[in-house]
Amino acid sequence: MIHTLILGWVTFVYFASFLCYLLAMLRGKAFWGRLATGTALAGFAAQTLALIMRWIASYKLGIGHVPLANFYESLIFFAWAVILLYLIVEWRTRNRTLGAFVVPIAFLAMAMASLSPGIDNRIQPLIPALQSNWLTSHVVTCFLAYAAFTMAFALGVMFFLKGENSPEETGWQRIRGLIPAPEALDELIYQSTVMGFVLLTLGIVTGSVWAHYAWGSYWSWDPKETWSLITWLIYAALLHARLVRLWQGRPLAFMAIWGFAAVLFTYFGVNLLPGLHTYLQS
Amino acid sequence: MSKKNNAIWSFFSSVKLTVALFIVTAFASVLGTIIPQQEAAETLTGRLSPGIVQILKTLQLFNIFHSVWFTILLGLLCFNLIICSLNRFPSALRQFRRQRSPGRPDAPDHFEPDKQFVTTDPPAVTASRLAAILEKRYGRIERTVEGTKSLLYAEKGRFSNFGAYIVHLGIMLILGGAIAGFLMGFEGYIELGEGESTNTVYLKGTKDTKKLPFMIRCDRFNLELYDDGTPKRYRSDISFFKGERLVRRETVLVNHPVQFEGIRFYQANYGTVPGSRMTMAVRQGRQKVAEQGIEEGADFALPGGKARVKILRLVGNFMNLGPAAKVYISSPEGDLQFWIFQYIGRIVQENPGLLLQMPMMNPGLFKPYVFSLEPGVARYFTGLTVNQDPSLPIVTAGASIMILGLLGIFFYEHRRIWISLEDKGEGTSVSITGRCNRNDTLIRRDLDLLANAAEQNAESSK
Repeated sequence: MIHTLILGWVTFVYFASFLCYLLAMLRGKAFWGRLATGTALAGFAAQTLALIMRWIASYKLGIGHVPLANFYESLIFFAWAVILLYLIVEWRTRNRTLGAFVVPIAFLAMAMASLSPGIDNRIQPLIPALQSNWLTSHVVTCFLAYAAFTMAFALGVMFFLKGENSPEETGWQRIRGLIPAPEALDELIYQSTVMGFVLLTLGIVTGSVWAHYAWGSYWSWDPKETWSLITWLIYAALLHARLVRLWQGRPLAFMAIWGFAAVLFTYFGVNLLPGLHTYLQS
Repeated sequence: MSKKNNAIWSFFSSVKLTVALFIVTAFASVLGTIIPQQEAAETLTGRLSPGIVQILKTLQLFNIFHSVWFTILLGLLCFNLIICSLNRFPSALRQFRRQRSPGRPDAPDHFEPDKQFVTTDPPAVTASRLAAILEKRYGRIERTVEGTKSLLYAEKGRFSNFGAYIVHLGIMLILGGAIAGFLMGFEGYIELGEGESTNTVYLKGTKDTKKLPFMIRCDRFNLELYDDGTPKRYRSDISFFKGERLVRRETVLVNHPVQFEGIRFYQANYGTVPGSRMTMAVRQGRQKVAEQGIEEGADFALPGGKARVKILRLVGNFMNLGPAAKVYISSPEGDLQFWIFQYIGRIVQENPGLLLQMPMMNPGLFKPYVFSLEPGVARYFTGLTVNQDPSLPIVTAGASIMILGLLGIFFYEHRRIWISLEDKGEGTSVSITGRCNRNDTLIRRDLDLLANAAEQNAESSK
């Protein structure tokens, strides 16, 4: 399948892009930064094309559905959403340091999808439970939310790396100097979290409406549902605490990192527990 | 007793409490996913000492999500949410209703302005330049003149201050609706073999049943597979009866429930009815003389009543030749044993002469009859989730309101800008202040834009 081949190559394109972002940060040369953005854009374009091709191919097989139906496709879409959001943030903030922290996450998701032996990359037909118009809206909102939380996580890591600027000019200091100011990071963490939170809420609501159509109940405390609620509660705590200026700066960055751990468990960890969302196991 | 001084009121209206409750609820939910719950807990309790099991049971750790303390936790969250909203809503409403005016009391005159500079232009020129930008980005502008001072004020997105209240209202509707649905509705399960009908629903989580005011019959269950063997479609054709009268026929699919008299039916399960796996047909010449549903150990009489057939074994796949039954025939002429294969036609075609070599495989061994297994006669049962949930419109409305509120928060923010211009003879002293209820970057961008415009114009007019 040509689309799986392209997606395999995109993995390496994102790795190259990550190296360029890293070089841009370490060397402080604008050339590497522009190359990094260009590479990421090229990878993103190729990935979008491959996703469309995969979508069309599924119709040619007579089992047409959006490419959002198994673990492989979800990883690919996650990486796509991460790069999309990152490119928007880069364009809006005109700062490339975030790339060195976010692009490797997209690369890892792609690498896991393409190289992990346990993951089936074939187009599979939709089982009855997934044959619903809610599939697209549920999966798209959830994964865009995960991508926004990935952004908040990377910004949180940057916040801790930034630390306090000391006057002496070492290499490490210069890198720190390139990272945006703590106040700007705090603001960006907040904005990514708000965006992720709105999308996650939409994801939970669409999932719950869907569950009502498919199984006759909105909520069954299945592990995936419960973990999405745990994630929602952590980010709700973060947003409320910032609103009353209870947590700002360090605790906010700290919570963005913990929230992402919950996201990862909701995405991967839950598959270890029994439940209704078992389609993602292979 | 005034609201503000009441210790209980201030405790429950605190956002710190909200944050604490969020974290405690999250932690309890984590426990609920790592400790096996309900039926799953039994394998764990078998390995622990009875004392520990008793403690865990008292703490309701094997049914956290339905435990008293978890319910109290959720109740506290709701209570906190209501009190917080009641506490803050009046001031938000006052702020919303307030007249637009540049000199109004909440103008942050007492704060340090965000931008302060002097231009060489006369106040009227600077004012009209800034007003043009403000108008383009904010719409309407309010102006006042007080002696040598003139003030400009503009705002947009005032209603976004209500976003949080709208979200909270939505959440209250969802939770209220869910509780109402739990109290007024029911959730249960029925299992129906093809051709069977019932009006009894087994209620979930209890041993109780509920009688429906109508009968439901399963006419047919059908399972379709993709070429690779994964399930494609589970389909139940059902009929509803009032008394003896057929009222409606419907098809229930996964993701496609059927509603009848306010009660919904969802495709949940299926299986084959035990003892109905195969049918045996007996022919004499071309004429079918008997047909019998069979299971191991069953026996039946052949026409005339002299000979009897006993099913000794039923095998799903015998010697890789497909389904087969071993029969024992007792008759006045003597007893016989042989095998009957469902696919005997194909087997003989592939192995000519087989029936002569192995008479045990000849379905016509007991003359003048020929036995056969009928294909595709397994009788299915369908399992349907049955529920009544009168809260559906409330929950749907709540979810829509919550999402609208969240979008309001996400896409709109309340931005306000105050500009004060003072004639200094030589030029104009300008101070600009901006406030935004959410995103400081956006307002900073607006302030920069205004300041640059005023200063650049000052440069160019030199």
